[in-house]
Amino acid sequence: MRVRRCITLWLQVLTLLSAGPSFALEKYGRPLPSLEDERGAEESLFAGYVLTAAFVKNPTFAARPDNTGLVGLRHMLHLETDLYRQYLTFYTDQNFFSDRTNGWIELSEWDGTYAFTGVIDHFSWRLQYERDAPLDKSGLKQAYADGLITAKLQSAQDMAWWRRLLPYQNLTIYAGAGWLFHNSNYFARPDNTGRALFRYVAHADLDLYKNKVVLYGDVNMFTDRENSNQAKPTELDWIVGLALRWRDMELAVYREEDRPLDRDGLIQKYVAVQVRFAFDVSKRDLGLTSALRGPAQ
Amino acid sequence: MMGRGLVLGCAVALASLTGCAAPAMVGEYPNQQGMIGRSKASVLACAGAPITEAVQDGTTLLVYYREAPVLEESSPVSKGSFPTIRHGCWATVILAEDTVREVQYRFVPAAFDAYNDCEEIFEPCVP
Repeated sequence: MRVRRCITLWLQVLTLLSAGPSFALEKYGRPLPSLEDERGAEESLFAGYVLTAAFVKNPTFAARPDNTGLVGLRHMLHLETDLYRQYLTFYTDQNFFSDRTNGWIELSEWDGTYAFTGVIDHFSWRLQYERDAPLDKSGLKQAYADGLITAKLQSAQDMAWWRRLLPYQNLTIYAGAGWLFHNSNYFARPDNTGRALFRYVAHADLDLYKNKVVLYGDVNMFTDRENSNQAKPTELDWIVGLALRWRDMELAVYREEDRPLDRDGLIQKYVAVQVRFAFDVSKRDLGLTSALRGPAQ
Repeated sequence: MMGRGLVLGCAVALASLTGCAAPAMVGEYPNQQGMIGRSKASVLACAGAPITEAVQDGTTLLVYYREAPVLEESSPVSKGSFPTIRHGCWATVILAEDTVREVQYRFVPAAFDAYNDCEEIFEPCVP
């Protein structure tokens, strides 16, 4: 049945794709104009955010890749641009930490991430390179490159029971697995032992009120390529947070804990308060398209 | 080898979990329904200027688009960010005889339920 349903759907898609100009016969009885040109103008040229977080409680979360110091502040710049609609996006994260045992202000670690990502139906893919390095002294650098595939579930579409129970509290879940195909000192446990090979991830956003109050969670597990069982998780990192959004700003409180799974060892954890400011520049903002069109007769 | 087999197995399991990917179903929503019966002036006053306005055989189409803010689409995590799906929603307000007859939503990408973004366009219109 599922195969037949898929074949039927694909035939419908092929029929639509071969249907010449993109006019759709809508319910009201007349074709609506093509929207693709307008969307091209309205789409983001580049977008991103800056954030600052204060680690208000931090007994163990280290301020450098060699696990020295304790993080005091975190600053991050995120930039992203769609190279080809939602199918190919480039983003970078430039993440900086300071050491609360060294005055809070001077930066102690710089983590740079560069990634390509894209979406195909319910699936997302990502190809990422990350390099973590100390800033205030020489020392251990960590780097890896990985590939990651995640699938998306939405309560509004995929969980009828949830939609009945909480029609306006949308739950979106992403889950998937990745492979660190390049690894230079990227460890498999918080105490800097082992070498990571696979990662299993899950991320959930629960929209409590019109995407202005959002409860979120994030889980990230690593396996150790030096273990006899390379697929068995050796580290679990989890985050749970509450975000309040207003226009282009967000205030969030979250807790993270990174712990080993296959033996006792260092557990890194903290509680942080974070503010984010977003920006989004469209082609129209930069005057790269014509002005708004008037009524078309 | 066994580990890689497990990862492949997980990918297959995820694929079967989501089934044959299909466009998200567009339903009926409070703000969308709240627009029915309004005049064109009233729509423009609360929702602002549309991206496109077209008149065809006595029917006026006001086309709006809202892309989800990047705050929704990228979550900061431990030492970087977790990318989710960039999404937005087209809303087409259809008027005849200066009265809204229907408001149609269309999600972008089609597989992502982005009704929140269209509902946000008309948020100032509905008390």
